[in-house]
Amino acid sequence: MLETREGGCHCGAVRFRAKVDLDRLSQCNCSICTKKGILHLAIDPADFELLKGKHALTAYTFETGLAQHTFCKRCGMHPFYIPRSQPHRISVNARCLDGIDGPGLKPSRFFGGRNWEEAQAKRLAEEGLAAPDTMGGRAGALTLQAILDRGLNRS
Amino acid sequence: MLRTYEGGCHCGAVRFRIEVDLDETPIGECDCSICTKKGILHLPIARNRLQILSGADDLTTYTFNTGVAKHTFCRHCGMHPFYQPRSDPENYSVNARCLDEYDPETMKSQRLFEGSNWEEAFARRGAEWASKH
Repeated sequence: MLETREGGCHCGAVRFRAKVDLDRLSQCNCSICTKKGILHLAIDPADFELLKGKHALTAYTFETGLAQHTFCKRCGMHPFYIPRSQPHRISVNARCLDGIDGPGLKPSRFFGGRNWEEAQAKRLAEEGLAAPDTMGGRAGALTLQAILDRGLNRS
Repeated sequence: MLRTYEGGCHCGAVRFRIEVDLDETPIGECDCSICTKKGILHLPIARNRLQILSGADDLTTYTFNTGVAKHTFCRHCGMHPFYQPRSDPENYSVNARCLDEYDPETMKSQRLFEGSNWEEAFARRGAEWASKH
């Protein structure tokens, strides 16, 4: 069920509002999602608003540099990020939604990111999608920048 | 069986080594405000059984409320490989997800600490421990 929820990091520096569907909760077994323990809700940037925290966020990147692994510099939480598989979208971390029962969250979808190319091909085929335009590897960074720019006047 | 495991953050700055018997040390989850967001899988480790191999200076420490827990994370990649918990601040809780040999099939949470009602959960755990020893 699509619903509007708010969430954020732990210290309160980063806050967001997003339209999410918890029935589409996904898990990934790639190297970084494994360590983060993140539970993904991929959404369109139009359904996401950064309410607060532009300057509290920093982004970690590796390998292709497409994914923007944002986290709060003060408390280390990962409320959302830009995924490599969908660099024009946002993945909200369901664990960072207000009032969520973390241990009770049960993902219904799985992305086998440990074998990334294979998992991506499978996902695109299942959803009837073309591979996203990486914009020369800058797509993720541009998506993140657009989100941060929209939150510009709210520190 | 007591064994050595290594682990770390994602960027490689923070590396650690622990000695633990996984058969005797159940992995746990907690539903407090910060563990919920971190999604951490707790493996309690005595302080003399954890060795920081590199990256002590790459850790940022976040504290809140009582300030007792030291929530450490890598300032470069944001991972939380271990921290010092409020319930046992002299020792460590290692995040099983950050072990090199982490296996989601065999390293599942076996117990829930209801940190959302921290005082109650802490008292209950103390009573359980006392009844076993």
